[in-house]
Amino acid sequence: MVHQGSFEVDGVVKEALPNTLFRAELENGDIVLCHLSGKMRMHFIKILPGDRVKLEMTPYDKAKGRITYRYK
Amino acid sequence: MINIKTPEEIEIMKEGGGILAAVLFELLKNIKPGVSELEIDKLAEKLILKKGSKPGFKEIKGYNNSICVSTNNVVVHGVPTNYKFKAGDIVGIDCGVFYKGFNTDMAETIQIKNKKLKIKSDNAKIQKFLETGKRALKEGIKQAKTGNRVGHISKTIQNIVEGKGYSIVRSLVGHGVGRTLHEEPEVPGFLEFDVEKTPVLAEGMTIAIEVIYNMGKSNVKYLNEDGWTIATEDESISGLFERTIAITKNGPLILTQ
Repeated sequence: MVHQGSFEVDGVVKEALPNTLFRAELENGDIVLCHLSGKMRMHFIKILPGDRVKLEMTPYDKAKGRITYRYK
Repeated sequence: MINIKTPEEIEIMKEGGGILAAVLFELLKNIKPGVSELEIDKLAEKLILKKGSKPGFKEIKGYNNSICVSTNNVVVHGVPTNYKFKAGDIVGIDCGVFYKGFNTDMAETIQIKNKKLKIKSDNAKIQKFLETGKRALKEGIKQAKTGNRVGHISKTIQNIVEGKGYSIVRSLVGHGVGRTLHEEPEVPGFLEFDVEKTPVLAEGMTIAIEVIYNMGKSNVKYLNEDGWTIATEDESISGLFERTIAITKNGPLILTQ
């Protein structure tokens, strides 16, 4: 059976939650619960509310995302 | 996390893949004008159970059939209906087998022979379309060796299919396969960024390489409210070819044959 591929979207971080979880708002208004990708943890990149970030999401759970990049 | 399988587990998957290949080719022989999609689905279930295994797709939450039937402009995940096949239809069958705890996944597309001579040129176009997909899968499988990356497979498939003017569907991908039907990594039929950014292929990985492509544009949409069936947006014909392979130190090993 064919699998639906994951895709990237941009979002804005709305709040920081415990355990490096964040709530982000997408361009279409959806709120998603995001965690930080391992690469970003490894390089100690801080994320604060208001940051614009790139999220990786799966079509199988549109309420969750993975932050893979922080825009300047 | 990409699951690596031991040689014993790959042996189990090879047995399951052999069962699946036998079932799938038997199903293709039975696709004739007047036969319905549901009859093929019931035949699939009967054959799979008879050979001592279980229909892999029934293990998926929310899916109640043993196969996906993708006729003409349906791309993937076609839930079998009462539709009766006609001569000239392009039918893709996607089937999975769950054997001794492991899944295998396979798909093939054929055209029901149309004996009317006046449509001969259309037949040639369709044959070329299907041959391209088969060749893309064959060449893609050859790239699945240790030292290469998923991107090598993706690039090969994309070059062959889009080189002939067809389009690779962007939102659907191949996948790792094992104790669950869909595992990491994703194996797209197209290359988005650098090959170097895709996962490395290692010995013991088992993946289902899929060629999902359309004669027209690559956009797809949900066809109706069943929550599964996906069709081409411009109603052009779609093709689907898939094999489950294991990566061994001697190169790719096709498990579904």
